[in-house]
Amino acid sequence: MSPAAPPVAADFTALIGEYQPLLLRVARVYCTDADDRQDLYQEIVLQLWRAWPQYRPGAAKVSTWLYRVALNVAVSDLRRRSRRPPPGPLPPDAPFAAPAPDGPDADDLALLYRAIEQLSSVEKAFVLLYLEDRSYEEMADILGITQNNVRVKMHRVQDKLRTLFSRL
Amino acid sequence: MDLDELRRQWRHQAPESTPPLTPEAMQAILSQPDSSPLGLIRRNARFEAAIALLCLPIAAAVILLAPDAYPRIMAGWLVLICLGALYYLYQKFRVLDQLQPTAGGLRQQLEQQIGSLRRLVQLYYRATMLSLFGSFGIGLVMQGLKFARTEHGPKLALMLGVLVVAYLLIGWFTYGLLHRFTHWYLQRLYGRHIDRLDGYLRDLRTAD
Repeated sequence: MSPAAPPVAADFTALIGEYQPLLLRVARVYCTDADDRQDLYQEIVLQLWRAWPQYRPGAAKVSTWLYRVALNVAVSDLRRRSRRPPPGPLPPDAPFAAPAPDGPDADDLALLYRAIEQLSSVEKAFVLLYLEDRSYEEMADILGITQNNVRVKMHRVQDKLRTLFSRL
Repeated sequence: MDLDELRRQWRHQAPESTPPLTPEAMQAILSQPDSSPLGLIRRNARFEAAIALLCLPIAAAVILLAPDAYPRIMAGWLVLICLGALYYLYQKFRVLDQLQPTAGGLRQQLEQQIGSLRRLVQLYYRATMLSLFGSFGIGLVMQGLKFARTEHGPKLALMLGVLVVAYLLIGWFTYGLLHRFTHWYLQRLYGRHIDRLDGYLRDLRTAD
């Protein structure tokens, strides 16, 4: 996009502002490095802006539309974000790769992020949608597969996540 | 740890501290130069198209104004190469447009990206190989015209025959080298990404 970008529609800014935590969570699941996360977040916003003229509120829930674009960018982006080496089996004393979350559940969440790091990009999408409490119907819509396939795959990913979590 | 409990914690985690998204902040995000690989490829392609478009009127002027046949033939060859390059770049822009992330399902996005990247690789390979024929064609024509200026009759025919055989041999050898290099280069540039996307698609399909 050139420096002379057209003025941003107020409703688009309001929408992104409202769903910013969702977009940041997607970026956080896919990038452990803060700079990469910022890059990804901005790339998602840019692609949402490009897709915005085609968005029809009646055709899909706004969250479905946001997850679709965000996951499509995160999973299929050509950019090489892996400035750090791909995660291998983590030693017990390894530092947290993801920024340490705050709050009373911080330890569990930090472990969860570490477990998620071990998953493939597609598995991350399943885990993210599960954690975000999306219905199977919406997941199928976002991922472009049938609900039955979502169920089967979700069980496998959940098992894998449990195993990873138990090893941390 | 129970996954439902994790899900509860996930939903109640503190949001990442970020400045509020004002219209100015949004404008700043959208106004940043596109530094994505697709943006860079597109920028390079625009630069190549500008050069080809610049060469066309120059070559046309040479064809119209040059008194000798030799520069006119070379300019005509250049026009053909420029037109070929523009057609290649047009196809490349179409493929690049298809590579932009869409608002469709992930599976469709992956299928489209893999297909488009394969088309891009195929296009690049064909254009590289055609440019080899183009370069050799120019050399052959130049040398042939040079011979024709000084030689005539059977001697010219013999020299042209030797020239063609020499070009065929060198061309065959260069073709082999270029084919291997282009294959290696494209695999390095796009191959691993295509393989990765293919893996993701298989991952999605494992539930089928």
